[in-house]
Amino acid sequence: MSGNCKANRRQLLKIVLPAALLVLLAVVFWRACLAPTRILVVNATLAQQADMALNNDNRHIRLRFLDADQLDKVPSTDALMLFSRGLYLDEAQTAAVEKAGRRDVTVFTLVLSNQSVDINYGLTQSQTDTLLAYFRNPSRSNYRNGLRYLRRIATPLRLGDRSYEAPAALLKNMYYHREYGRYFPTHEAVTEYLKEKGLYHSGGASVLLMSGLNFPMEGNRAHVDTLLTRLTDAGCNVYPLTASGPEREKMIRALHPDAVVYLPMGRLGDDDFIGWLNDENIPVFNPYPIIQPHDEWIDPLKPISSGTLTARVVVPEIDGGIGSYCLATQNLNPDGFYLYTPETERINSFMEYFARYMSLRTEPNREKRVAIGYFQSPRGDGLIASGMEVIPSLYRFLQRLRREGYDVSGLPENEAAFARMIHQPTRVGLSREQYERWAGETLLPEKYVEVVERYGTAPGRIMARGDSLSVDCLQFGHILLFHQPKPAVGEDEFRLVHGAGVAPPHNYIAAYLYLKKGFGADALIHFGTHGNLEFTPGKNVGQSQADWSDVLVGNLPHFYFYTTGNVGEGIIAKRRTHAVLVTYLTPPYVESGMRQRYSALLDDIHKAIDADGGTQSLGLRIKQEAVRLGLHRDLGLDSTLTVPFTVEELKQLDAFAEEIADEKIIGAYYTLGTPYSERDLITTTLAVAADPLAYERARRDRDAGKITTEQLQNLGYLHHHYLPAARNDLTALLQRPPKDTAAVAAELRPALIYREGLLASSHNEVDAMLRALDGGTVAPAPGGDPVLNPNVLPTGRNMFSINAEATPNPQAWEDGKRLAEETLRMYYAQHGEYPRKVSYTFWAGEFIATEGATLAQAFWMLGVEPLRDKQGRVVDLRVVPGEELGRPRINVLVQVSGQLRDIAGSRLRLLTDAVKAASEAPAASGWPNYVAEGTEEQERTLLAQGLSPVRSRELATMRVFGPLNSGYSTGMMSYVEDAGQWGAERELAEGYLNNMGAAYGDEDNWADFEPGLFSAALARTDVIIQPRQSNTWGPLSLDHVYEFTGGLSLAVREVTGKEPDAMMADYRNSRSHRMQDARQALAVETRATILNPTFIRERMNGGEGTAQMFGELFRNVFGWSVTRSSMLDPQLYDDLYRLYFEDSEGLGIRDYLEETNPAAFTSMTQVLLDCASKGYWKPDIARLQQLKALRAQQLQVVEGPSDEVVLREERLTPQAPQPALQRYAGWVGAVLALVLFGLLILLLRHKRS
Amino acid sequence: MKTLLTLIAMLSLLSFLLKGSFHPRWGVALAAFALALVAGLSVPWLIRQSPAAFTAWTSSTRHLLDGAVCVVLEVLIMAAFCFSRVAGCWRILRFYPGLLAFPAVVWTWAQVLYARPGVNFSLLAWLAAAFTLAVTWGAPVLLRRLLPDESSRLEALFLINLFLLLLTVAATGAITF
Repeated sequence: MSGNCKANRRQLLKIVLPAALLVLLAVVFWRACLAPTRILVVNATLAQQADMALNNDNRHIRLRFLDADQLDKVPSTDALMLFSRGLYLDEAQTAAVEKAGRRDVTVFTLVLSNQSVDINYGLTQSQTDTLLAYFRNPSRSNYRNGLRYLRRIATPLRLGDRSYEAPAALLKNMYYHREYGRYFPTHEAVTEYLKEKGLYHSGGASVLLMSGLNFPMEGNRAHVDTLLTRLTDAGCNVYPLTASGPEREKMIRALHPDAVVYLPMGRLGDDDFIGWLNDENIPVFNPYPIIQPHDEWIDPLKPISSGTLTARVVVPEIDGGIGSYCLATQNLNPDGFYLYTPETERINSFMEYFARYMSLRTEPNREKRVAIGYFQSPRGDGLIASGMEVIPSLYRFLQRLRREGYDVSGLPENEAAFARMIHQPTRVGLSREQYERWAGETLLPEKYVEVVERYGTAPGRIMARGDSLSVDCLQFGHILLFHQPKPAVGEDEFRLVHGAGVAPPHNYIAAYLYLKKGFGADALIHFGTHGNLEFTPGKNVGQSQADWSDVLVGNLPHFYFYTTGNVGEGIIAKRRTHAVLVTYLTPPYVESGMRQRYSALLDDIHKAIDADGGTQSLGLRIKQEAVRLGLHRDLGLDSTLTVPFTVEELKQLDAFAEEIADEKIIGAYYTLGTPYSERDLITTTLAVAADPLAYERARRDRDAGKITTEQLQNLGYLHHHYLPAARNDLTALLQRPPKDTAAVAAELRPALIYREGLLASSHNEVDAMLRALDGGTVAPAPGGDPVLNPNVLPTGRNMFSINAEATPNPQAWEDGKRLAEETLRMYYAQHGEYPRKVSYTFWAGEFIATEGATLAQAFWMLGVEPLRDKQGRVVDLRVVPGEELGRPRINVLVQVSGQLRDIAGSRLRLLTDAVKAASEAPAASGWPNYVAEGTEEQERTLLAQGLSPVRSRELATMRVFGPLNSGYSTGMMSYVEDAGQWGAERELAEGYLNNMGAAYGDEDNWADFEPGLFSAALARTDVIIQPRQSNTWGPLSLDHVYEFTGGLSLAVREVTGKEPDAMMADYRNSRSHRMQDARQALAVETRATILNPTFIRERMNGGEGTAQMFGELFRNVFGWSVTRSSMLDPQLYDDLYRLYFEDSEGLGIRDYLEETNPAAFTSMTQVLLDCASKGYWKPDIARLQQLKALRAQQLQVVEGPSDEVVLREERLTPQAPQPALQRYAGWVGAVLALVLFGLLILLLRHKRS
Repeated sequence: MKTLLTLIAMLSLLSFLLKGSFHPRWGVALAAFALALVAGLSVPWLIRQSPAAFTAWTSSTRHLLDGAVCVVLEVLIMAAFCFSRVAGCWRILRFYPGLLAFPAVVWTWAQVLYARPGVNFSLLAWLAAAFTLAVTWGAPVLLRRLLPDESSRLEALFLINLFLLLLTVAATGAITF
């Protein structure tokens, strides 16, 4: 039996073993010779993936595509192909690729230029060159054969179709057309081709079309072909070009087109070439495809990717590109690959814009119809434009239009008559039927439903007359002036100006429909900074018909006079309304007179410091003067007049007084087209040039060993020892500028250039607008404060932004690190410990001006540093070891403006990555990790609030917050300024926590609002920091500062129970960025401006717009009182009353205000009454009575300028009784209850007895 | 209510462990593995639940009443086991480990999870499984060694279940309708 069994087993083995061997051999043979070659392609764009897959016709090749971030472990493959453009591999990913290479996987990197990744394995140099020849010349046949060639190398033994053709050399630089395979070396050949095909239009505009380097040959170009066809159909002779480098420029110069349509991917050319295009008046249009699918694109809350934003929008703006419309989306085709799909409506919109713009070149000025929108303060206290006197500017501009041949008939002969007319515009009636027909032709049905749902059926209740709507406008010949209506109903000023997040009302839509369809405008101008169209709901870039700003501009060529000082919001206006910005000057900088006022005191202080305190009498004299001026209050010093200040205190006083003395202040508002006066020219040039000159001289002295580096970095020292001489030298030069500059010292020459730039600006601005109205170019330029960046001069140019991906740039990084350390040093010196959390405010203007210095501060607080690729982009972060940091890892929170969020979304995501990385960083010996502790605490708080552990964990690292619904409004201004609306400051804090509580941290939680998250993230905030990068505004003069920083401070106080320290990151001096105590910053500005008679006198030279600013300053005082009263000197209210209402300096300010802008004066009166009613100011009874009497008198005089302005009665009545009653209601109730209880006891006793 | 529920959960677990001391070794192992599996798998589910919702769910009148019925049934079964063990009948009850331990272990780990922010979820799941396995496998063995006298263990089991019943009655009395 067992013998049989053994025999059977042997028999079985004889069969099984060979069979297994056979199977094994078969598998080995199949793997070695028959299996398809697996090629893994990493980091190809979706379009490239589609091109490769659709052109591969070899069934023995299997393509698989992978994103770079999936490369931590290389999947099993025969060949690995890396597309190096935009590729960044971290150490682990590089190791994984190299490991695969050593494992006999053929690795090929397609290097296109100077890129960081270049890994090749299993390839000879000749093979690498051949592969590069295929893939650097991307065409259908090269893709097809390149893959076949790679297969041969990677799997040499595999059978099957092993044929391939040699790489087809393509012309690097050539013209092409719709017909695939027809390429042309010169534009003359294209002309011949067009004639041959009957596509040539004699007399038609020649248009150069550039669609990127690879499209023409790769296929996947439906949108390019559509555009080509549409341009041809529009009567243009289209020259599609693919070329790069100097050859591209050469070919364009040779063609000398009438216009360039460039679907951008990087810059079109260098600055010289862009200058040439501008000189030759060749406009560059930049429509672009995006890589998102259609559904994602039309989602209003989905921003376009940061890569697309940079390459397709930000960089072309540097070239001065216009017409930035989204042309195509990228959608999945049935084969599972993404192909570009033309968005027909967008292409139509772009074509309409293009045709209208180009027609401006040929249409005579006399025939052109131009609509000009101007803006009115929501309070009705004047026409507004940042830093600009609107009425004289507009009047002069219209006069200039008349001189240029435009039909401006009916324009009054003098400015006063024009001013009267503009304050009483004509009401053009628009019947409901007409309006609804136009709306139906223009708006998507669902958008109109939004309007009806919110405001009822047309005509609604605003600007309605019976069954029709009214549009406020003035028409002079072919020029229409229209008053931009409010974009929503309500009284929140900031929301009205910066977007209310809801559909605009009928009268708003009617105004824009009327100018296009009723008036028949050929072009639209918005006059001054800034209106509200750009803040109506919708996307920032890549708009569709569903975005209000896009649809209301209506594809009209749109030009926007915009202050050069506000680049952050300017960029938003540009992108959201397809605007060509034409910058205008900031008001001139003037002497504050404070140096003269403080000169005796400063001399005494310097003597005392030099003598180590000086004599007792000198010390007492200084103290007496400082106390008389109230400087001790701003610095928190004592006021005992019998004890002099210590040397340390004197140094503090010195720095403070020097800062006030050198504070740059701006004078009366600028009038467009009117050059600065000779005096203003000198003072403004000094403001621009003196600091750099002083610094340069000090730097030379430092290099020569005459002063120390610390002295060089000490602003007070420079102001004291170098600035006066620099100012004197420059003043002497500027008072008599020589014709021949060769004899001028090299260090002084820049001042002459700045002077020329300022002089040229006033005519350049209007000239640029006229050139634009002729369908011409407006030269690109950076934006910002001219003092900080004189390159913005001359104005009259089209502002651009910066590449957010490269931020923080190396300089900003070094600055940010230093300022973060300075913040910690200042806090430590005052509190004896490190702050646990620092909360920053990020604004677009600062971000653009400093290229990310505040972002760098936040990074360095967290203890992470940016890692860059070879193109300088910040692509990753490194956690700095705790030992190297030498201090705790400080937790951060960032609140952002909507504008910053829109231009630098990728940086906010990077910041969240930094928080995550810092939270996971190992603890260093002796140094706590406050980031990790904060993350854990935030998670615990959220958990306690009822969120799931997963959600709590997910949100525990959210530290970036901003306005809700991708909007721009904090919603604070109406709360704060309308004192009747709120009782306790707590209500404001709650409003702020709600309105600014949207998280902007990562893709998954972008714009999410989770109740309680913002307050959880604010916990333990010890310091708040506000950046300032412009000399044109300060914490007092700009309402947004109290709105954001004051609001944040209030919110922190509500959450933590204590007021955080407040600092300002001061970037106004490009050579000396520093941290500044916010209270002192406000005190400096207060003393140099609103309490400074010289400043008031200067401003009194201005008109309605300048006067309006006084009202704004007063409202800002109230804003600070409400949000952070510790910022203000309690004496300020009395000082303001004396100066403005009693005219204690005899300036005539009250008469000026009552005459020039009574509404502004009314507003100032109301502010002081509000301060009194809320208890911030405790005036004596007489003053209060006088103010009330004045207010009552004003009530009878002031009228609202239009139906839109509603002066609420309750604002005008005394505020005190009602809140007092509310406040004491509880106590009154309690006392009443006690009395009743007592009565009950008495009653019971009485009964018993 | 939370304290009451915690006590009920602890007693249920103790009852489970004591009951385990009457099981054969493979039975203890099987029950321990099952409980460990539930503990481990419950963590990924628990992390998606809001603590407030979880507390509301466990404290809702309906669920408390349903739970009370389950506890009473369990107590009855355990009491029956105690008597059957003495009488030597209904041997089948020997193999019933006590099902209340399953919700009790989930509840216990939920409390740990909600009290420990920052803990690694995956690690916690593995720890929950491992700890539960170790305790529910080891404790019956330990109890058998500490209380070798079977009647003492039976008595303890009976008393624990009796106390469990009382607590349940108290808990239902605390319910406000």
